[in-house]
Amino acid sequence: MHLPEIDRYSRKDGPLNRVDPRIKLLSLGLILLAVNLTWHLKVAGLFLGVSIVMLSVSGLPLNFVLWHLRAPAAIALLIGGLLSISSPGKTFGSPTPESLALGLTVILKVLSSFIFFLSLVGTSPLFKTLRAARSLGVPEKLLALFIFTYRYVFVLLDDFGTLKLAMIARGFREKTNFHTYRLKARLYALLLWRAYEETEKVLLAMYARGLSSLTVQGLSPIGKDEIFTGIPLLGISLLLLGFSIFW
Amino acid sequence: MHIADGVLPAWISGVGWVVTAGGVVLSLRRLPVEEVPKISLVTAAIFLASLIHVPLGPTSVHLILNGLGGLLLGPLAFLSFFIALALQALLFQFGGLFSLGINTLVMGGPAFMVGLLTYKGGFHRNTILSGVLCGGAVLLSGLLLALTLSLAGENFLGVARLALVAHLPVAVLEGLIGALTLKTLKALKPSLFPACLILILIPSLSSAHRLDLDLFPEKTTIRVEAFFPDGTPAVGDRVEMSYQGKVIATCTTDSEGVCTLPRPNYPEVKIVLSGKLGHRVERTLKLATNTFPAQETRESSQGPSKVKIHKEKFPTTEVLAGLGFIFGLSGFIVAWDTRRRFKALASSGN
Repeated sequence: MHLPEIDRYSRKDGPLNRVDPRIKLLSLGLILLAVNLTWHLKVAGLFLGVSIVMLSVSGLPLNFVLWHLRAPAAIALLIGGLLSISSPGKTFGSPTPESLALGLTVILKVLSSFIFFLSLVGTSPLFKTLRAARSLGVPEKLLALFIFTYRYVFVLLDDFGTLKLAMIARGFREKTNFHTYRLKARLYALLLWRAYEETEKVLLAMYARGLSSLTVQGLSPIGKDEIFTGIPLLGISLLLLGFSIFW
Repeated sequence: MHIADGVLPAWISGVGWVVTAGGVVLSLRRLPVEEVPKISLVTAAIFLASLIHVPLGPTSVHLILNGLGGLLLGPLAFLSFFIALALQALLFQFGGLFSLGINTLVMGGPAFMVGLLTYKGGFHRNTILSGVLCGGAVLLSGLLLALTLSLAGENFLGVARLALVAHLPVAVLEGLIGALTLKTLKALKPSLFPACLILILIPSLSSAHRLDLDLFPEKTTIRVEAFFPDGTPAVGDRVEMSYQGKVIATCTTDSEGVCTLPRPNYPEVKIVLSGKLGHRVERTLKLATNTFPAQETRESSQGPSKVKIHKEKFPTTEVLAGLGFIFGLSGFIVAWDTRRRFKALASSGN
């Protein structure tokens, strides 16, 4: 199993990489609100256009973007497709102009949401984004939980790889039968058991280092230069929100 | 199935965020710092396990594991699912940030209910019942998802029905695999399960780790009572009284968690209780104003108080008030949205 790193290209020196993560988070919130508020096909189309422009400014490689867009695109096409053939009063029937417009609007909204998300979150190192979230008032304990979980996912992934390899080496092939489900259940149980055993070691190590509290430091106070660099992005976000509300 | 950003009307996602934020804040308040690594590791394990595909006929599905999460983590499973879903949104773009609240309610809500049932009823002891709970949690998720989609408008009814039907085979499979997983866990290390895995992983509910402190100023002394939220006295812990950074008196708590400090002639002093395993509580005591709550002065005048009085009660009023606020807000938003729709309908009719 491969786990993607969303911030793989965050160290590049692009216009969006230079924007302060706090401003990016605020802008992302405004943009997502704008995208979710609109139900007009034209506005949704405009948002997708703006998101593609933002993506090209971010300088993220196309194959990286396409890989990340697989899941949202599939969901968007599925839900949008189903909505296109749905009409009030009927479960599924022949498409009407209204249902087609609704389906297409949802597809455009889902895609633009994810492209905006990728352009803004993918251009900052993840831990810097989390520190920015701390600066914006997200509870420290919640962020600590998130950071620990993120780290342990990669640690447990190694364990899982070993277990899976052992199963394949013993000739295990997946089928729809009770034997497969029983082995899958054992795999889950082993994963949870190993996680539990790991917790003991981790906790002892943390006590040895004098655990008393968990601290996730916020970013240093925002400077004039950072505000100046972030103003265009914030302006675009407010403009999109305005479009969404007043169109 | 995760709801992606842009699918639901903004008000539904907003209500989802409000309710989820309340649940997360309550869970965080009950989670001691020492338990963060444990919860994180089990969350990571559940996150990984939920990504493993299980064959089902010509296709394959990935399990939600919210029932199993509830059985293992108790009510804290809600917090665990919030983190797991945030990670899925971040790494795999399943769901989204704006719909994270509603997705957590749909998947973490049933996990919370299973966790509550497990904690209160000890259902994890029965394998078959555990399986039923695992399957039931998925069914409930399907119902909540269908309800959420149907709230989005009449056009979404078809998708809602389909989403509910799609959850049925997953519920059966998850019930079976959940029961088998618990059975294997018990066989792997009986001493670990449920005594350790269940009880150690939900210590926040026993509330034994957060240290607290009560101060009762009297004429010449200040009585200090140190205790844990379940009423257990904190024994042998050092208490320091300082004024402007300078330590002016110290004492150590006795077998009842009580010690006495001399009352200084300063307007305000800081009292610090340093417990074991890094526990630390700080209180600032204003001595000049002499405005102490009536109950505290009465307790102090009656001599040594019993540590039992410190036991925290379930905040029923606060919870009811919080739920009332949430339902009120939801009602307001629904009424506003209905009015908006009627207006739109009326204007289109004209």
